[in-house]
Amino acid sequence: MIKTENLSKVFKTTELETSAIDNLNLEVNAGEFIAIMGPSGCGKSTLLNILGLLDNPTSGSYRFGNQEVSKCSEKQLTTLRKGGVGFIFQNFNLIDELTVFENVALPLEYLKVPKNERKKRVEEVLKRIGIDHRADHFPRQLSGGQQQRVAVARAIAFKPKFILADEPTGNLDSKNGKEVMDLLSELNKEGTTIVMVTHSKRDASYASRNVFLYDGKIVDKLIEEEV
Amino acid sequence: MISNYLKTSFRNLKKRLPFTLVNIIGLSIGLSCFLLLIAYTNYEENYEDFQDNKEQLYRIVFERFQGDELKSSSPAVMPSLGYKIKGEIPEVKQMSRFSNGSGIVKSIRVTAEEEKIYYADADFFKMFSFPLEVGNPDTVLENPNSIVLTESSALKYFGKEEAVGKELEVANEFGTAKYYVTGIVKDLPLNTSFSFDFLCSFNSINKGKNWFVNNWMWWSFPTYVTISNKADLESVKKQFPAFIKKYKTDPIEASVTWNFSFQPIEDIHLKSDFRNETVRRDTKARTLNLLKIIAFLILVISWVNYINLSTASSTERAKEIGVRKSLGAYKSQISKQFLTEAALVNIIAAILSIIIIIMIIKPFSKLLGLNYSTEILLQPTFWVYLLPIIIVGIIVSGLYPAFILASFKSTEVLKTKTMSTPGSVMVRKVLVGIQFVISIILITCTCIMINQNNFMKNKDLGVDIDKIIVIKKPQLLEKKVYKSQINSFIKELHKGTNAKYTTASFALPSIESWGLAVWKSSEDPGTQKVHMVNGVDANYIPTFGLKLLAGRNFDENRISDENAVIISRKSLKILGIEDPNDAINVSLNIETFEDRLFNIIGVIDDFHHNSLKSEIGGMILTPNTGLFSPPRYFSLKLDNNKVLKNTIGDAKSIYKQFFPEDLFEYYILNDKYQLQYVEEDRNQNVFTVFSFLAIFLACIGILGLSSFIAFLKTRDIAIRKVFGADKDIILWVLSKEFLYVLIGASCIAIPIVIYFMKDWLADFPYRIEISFWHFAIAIFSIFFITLLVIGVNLYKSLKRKPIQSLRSE
Ligand SMILES: Nc1ncnc2c1ncn2[C@@H]1O[C@H](COP(=O)(O)OP(=O)(O)OP(=O)(O)O)[C@@H](O)[C@H]1O
Ligand SMILES: [Mg+2]
Repeated sequence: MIKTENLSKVFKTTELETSAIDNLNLEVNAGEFIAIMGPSGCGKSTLLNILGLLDNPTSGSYRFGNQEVSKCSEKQLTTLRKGGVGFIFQNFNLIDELTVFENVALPLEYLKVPKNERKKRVEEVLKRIGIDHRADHFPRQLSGGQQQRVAVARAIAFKPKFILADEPTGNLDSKNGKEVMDLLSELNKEGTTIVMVTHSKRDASYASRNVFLYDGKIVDKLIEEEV
Repeated sequence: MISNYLKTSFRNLKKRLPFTLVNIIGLSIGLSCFLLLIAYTNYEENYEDFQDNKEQLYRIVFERFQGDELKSSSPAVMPSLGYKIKGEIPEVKQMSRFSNGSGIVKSIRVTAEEEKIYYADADFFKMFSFPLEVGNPDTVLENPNSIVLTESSALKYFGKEEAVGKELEVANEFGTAKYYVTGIVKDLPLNTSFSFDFLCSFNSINKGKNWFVNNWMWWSFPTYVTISNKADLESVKKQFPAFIKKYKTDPIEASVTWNFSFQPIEDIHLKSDFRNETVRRDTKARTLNLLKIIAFLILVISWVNYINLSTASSTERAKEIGVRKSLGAYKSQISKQFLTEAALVNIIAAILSIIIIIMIIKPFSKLLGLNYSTEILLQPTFWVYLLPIIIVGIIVSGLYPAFILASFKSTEVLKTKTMSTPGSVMVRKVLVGIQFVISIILITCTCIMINQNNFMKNKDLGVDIDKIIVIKKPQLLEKKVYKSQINSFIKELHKGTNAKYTTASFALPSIESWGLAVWKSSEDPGTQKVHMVNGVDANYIPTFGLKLLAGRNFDENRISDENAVIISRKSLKILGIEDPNDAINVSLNIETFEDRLFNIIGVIDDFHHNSLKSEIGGMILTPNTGLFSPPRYFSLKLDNNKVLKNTIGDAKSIYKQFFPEDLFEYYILNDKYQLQYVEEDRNQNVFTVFSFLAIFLACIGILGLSSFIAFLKTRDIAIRKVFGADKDIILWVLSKEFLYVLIGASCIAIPIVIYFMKDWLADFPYRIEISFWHFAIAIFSIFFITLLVIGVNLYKSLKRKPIQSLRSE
């Protein structure tokens, strides 16, 4: 489904060049559930952003489906993203002025899902994730864990084929965390491809394959303490 | 300490150079507009301010009442009034008549037609502060046949030679005579209602003519007096009734009451509105008030811009402020920093605006139809305005940002993502709202003015003024000689040119004729009403394409037509006759033609003799006899395909054959007619220009707000993009905010416009209605401009990869 070859990302600031991703080769097949693990700062989020078409690589190739992403215009990228990719951010990124309901409904709106259908689907997903009683609240009125669940709901509500999750359980207690993981794995069984970044071994155990990242490179295995 | 603030301010301003430039440009445009308009209005309002005796100088105003009805009001009175008043009422210290006698002036070198020849009494230069270059103010106008020239006319007629003592010949309605130059007066300032190039001693015209001293029925001599104080003025007013009673002896005026009043000379320029005003008058107080309001609005817009832009940019600096405060800076220190920056920007803008004013004063005064120059800047009042405006500007524009920013709580600023409280967005929306309100008002008013102006210019006048050349009567010839030549001249004119019709008349469209009292002979003279009466010939009706509703045109071959009249539909109505056909053969009496009876032979449809600014009144046409003889104008009507220029050449050579000594003077009627709309045209120009400026300035405001909102929304936009939003959706999300502001602003602006423009339109008897479209144009144009500005502004942030925005927290 997606494939990177010699993918690199270099951040240039005035004083410093950071190579966040370094000649990385990764292939993810449709229906896979991949957990990316690695120490802080090793480039997990950066990789996920590139895979999710939010950022472009400095060099190397990235094929999304059968499209070469580096050759895509902004408009084509929007089309690819639209309805195709669900993103769960490490820091949630909810829109402050919109209610929980509206936040979750946003992607559906852009997909021009009719209003009634939209309402039904949003309510369904909110219920599934246990936050339906908060539908009319604004993000700032929610706890970190609740916000994270809204972010998850938003990413799955429009049933994308591909979900990218950056530490989706980072702010949740083990009970809620388990629920989210169950949900993701359920979606995976329904055919959704998932790439997830996590620090938790237990979460990683839900995945069909684990990828270890160190200094922007894929390594075979990580030394225990560093995880 | 101050120098420290200054240093930091300079650094801050330099750091954000584009922002600083926009700010300075916006402010200086606003300031220059304000100062220019204020300097101009101030200038207009201070007419006669330079006169040393301004508090003691009055012009006599003459009103005649028939019962309660005002028959006439005029600043021109009988020549004898001034003469008698000075002798008989001791409180009147000085007196000068000031009456026009345009004609032809001849020196050895030059002969030319002159409009501004005036006659004034010996007191004139003692009363008014027009300094003499050469000559004694007490005596220059003492003797008959003395003439005082302005410096420019002296130069024109005598070159560099000494003019005093030289001879000039002046030919006008008072005859032809030789005058001796007794003095040279400095060219008149522009801010006076007086405007003369030649001033002759008044006793040159009444020399030896007792008639001038005793005539109480010739009302065309404006008269000025000096009365020392208010108490004296009261006493003069008390003595007047007895004074009038003594001299108002003519039985013709028996049924009419006379009233005289004293108009302070400072009121002449703006506050008086006589139909037959005798002095130069081209501005109305209303126009000046309008201009003042515009000036203020523009200034407000530019201040609002400053506030808007500096708070917008300073939210970027909020973090810096937060850190500073956490490090122990006092609120007052931060406020002072912002005030210093505001002061710097305001002062730079003020300097720039003076440069702008110097650069645009010429085109600006052209816009106003005037020839003012940098002399406006030399008015002390101009500088008196500038300083407070700068100070108020600094306070208004600097205080709010200083206040807002200094009161950021450091913890909040450091913690929150967007660095703004919902309140600050609200304030900013209100500010842009104010700009929207002002812009809508200006644009709508401009639309309405343009609409009304075009309406007046395009409305069917009922009279055809196209392709008509008007030739003025000769000035030099004795009346008798001229009279004897009129008939052959006009015949020759018709034969020798390609004119379709040729007519001689006393007055013609856009030139007033006499307003005379008219009544049906069968009724009591007390029923008389004023109609405009014009002396014409048989070709007048076809020349001007007037429509005959009943009866017939004049016939030169019928002797009885000497006493015939053709009246307009409106006159018919005033006379109380229903059907035009019933009017035929009704006989009329006309004031000043007391011994004659006039017979109605025809009725014409109403037409706009004057501009659409005045209502159509009663109009009566009668042959060129009596008051109306000899005719003053010859009009040639051409077919539409003919070229005016050829006809003018032909007419000129014929004129020269008949009146070889005279100057051939002509004009194109349509041009002259449109001159009646000078003030409207000027208002329209001024409004158009300043609306554009207001919109331009408002754009700066929109730019400020939209970049601020865009800044607040970058994260929002990025998230939306991640989930598939297109550019246009994002644009809409932002425009929505402005749309609400615009709707709010419209709700405020619309009633204001309706209130003011209803009042403005009420002055026009023939007017348009304020319509939905006037507002729609304004509101939609602002909406689209806003979209454009936002679009341009957002282009960059829309292009960015979403993750860049999400990262930059
Ligand atoms: N916009 C940027 N500019 C400069 N450097 C960056 C930028 N984004 C990321 N980096 C650097 O790239 C490296 C990888 O960052 P990334 O956010 O991908 O780490 P991560 O693996 O997600 O860490 P964590 O587990 O803490 O979230 C880091 O060293 C970071 O400092
Ligand atoms: Mg990360």
